Amino acid sequence: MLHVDDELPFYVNGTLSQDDRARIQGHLARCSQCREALAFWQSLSSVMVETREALEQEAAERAPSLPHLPAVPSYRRAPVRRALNLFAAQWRLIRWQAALASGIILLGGLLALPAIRSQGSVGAVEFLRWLAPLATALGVSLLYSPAEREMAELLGTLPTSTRTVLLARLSLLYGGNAAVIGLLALCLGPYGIPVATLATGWLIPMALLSSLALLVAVLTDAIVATGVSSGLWALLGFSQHASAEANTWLHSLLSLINKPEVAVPLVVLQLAMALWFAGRPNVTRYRPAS
Amino acid sequence: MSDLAVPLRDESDVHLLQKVASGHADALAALQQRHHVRIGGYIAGRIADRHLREEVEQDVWLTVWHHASRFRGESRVLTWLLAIAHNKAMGALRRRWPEPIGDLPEISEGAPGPEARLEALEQREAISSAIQTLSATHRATLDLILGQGLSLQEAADVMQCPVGTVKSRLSYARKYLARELERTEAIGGEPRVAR
Repeated sequence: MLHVDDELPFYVNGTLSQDDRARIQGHLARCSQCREALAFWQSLSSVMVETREALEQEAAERAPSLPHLPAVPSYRRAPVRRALNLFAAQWRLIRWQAALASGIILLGGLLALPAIRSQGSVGAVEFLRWLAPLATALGVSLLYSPAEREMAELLGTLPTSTRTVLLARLSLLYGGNAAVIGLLALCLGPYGIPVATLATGWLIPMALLSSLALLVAVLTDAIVATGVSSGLWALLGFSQHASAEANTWLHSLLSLINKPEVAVPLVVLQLAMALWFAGRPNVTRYRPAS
Repeated sequence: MSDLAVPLRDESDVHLLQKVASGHADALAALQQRHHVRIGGYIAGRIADRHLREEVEQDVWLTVWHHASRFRGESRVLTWLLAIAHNKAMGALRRRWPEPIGDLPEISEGAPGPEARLEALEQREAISSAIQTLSATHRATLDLILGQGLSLQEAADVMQCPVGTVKSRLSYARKYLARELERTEAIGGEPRVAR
């Protein structure tokens, strides 16, 4: 007779299929040796279950504590899924800031639209040049701030590097804002404004101001970044409306940084510096207690 | 822009693990909240030293954090977690108390079978003490199958060995315990206790 010793532990723990159980029950009915072996496994099982329960009771009395989670998970096999997951996770965190920035633009756009219509194309470009950079810079200021505890706590516990997180958030924010502003530009389209003019009209000041806001936010905090970007924004406006003679140096400096060949490297430099500083451990001041 | 539809505590293990893989620290906390008792209990069964045990436990969750994306969904999440806990615990034991290979005492086929020892088996303390003298690997095998209730395949997956090895470990453990219990009965005392 073929004994079923090997299967008895699994008969006892209930992980066998119905068929196997039935077969073993049939065998047990005929075989006293296997019945005794079964008794052995049952006794052993009850001891093991009791031991497990006692140990688990002990474990339950200790509160779970997460370890410090610093490093990047290995994700080489699924980069696209990682990127999508990262965007999804970040969107949950930044959406209200992004929504706020876009909301400001939209609301401002709606309020200003009648005025723009009456003034023609110059007014429309001016409007976008004025509103879009400020709104975006404010959004970016809020995007990263070590002083903001919740955000910093999250950054501190994320396995993904701060730089990657920041890039993901920037992409989301810029993406969202570009959509809103683009929509607005389309609304203004019938007034005969070329898209290229619109793009250079607001894109360069926006990129300049928001990358500066990000750098300042990384180095200091959101409040300072908001102040600096609003200040610079006001200065830009002031210099355009003041007479060129009275503000020669300021005017020429501002018109210089508004040129794409100067502005683009400047933006890249500011962004690179912001990312570099953001990745340095001492900049993210919050560290979860170990 | 609604909030997350499902609170983390109600999400399935697999969903939580997917979130962990995307860098969601709260999801790891939720997963830990759900399984720390089971995992902590299993590690406590392998490692007596409290400090080492806590170290291993932290190591387990850190590993989950790093390698959540490696979970392929071919097993239950709990089995996957147990596999990590098992590897970490056994690794820590090996580092601290290297176990010489092939130190299993021979058990002659002529040794009386467990059948004759039924009376002794009724005594739980005797069984418990005898289990303590088993090697760490054999104890883990018994725990995974009888304590944690894993199937043969799951136990083999957790211990990363062929199913045949799991069976032979069980068979050895049974013979060993029977002999140990018989000896306890013969000398009327406690079995020898290793570490």
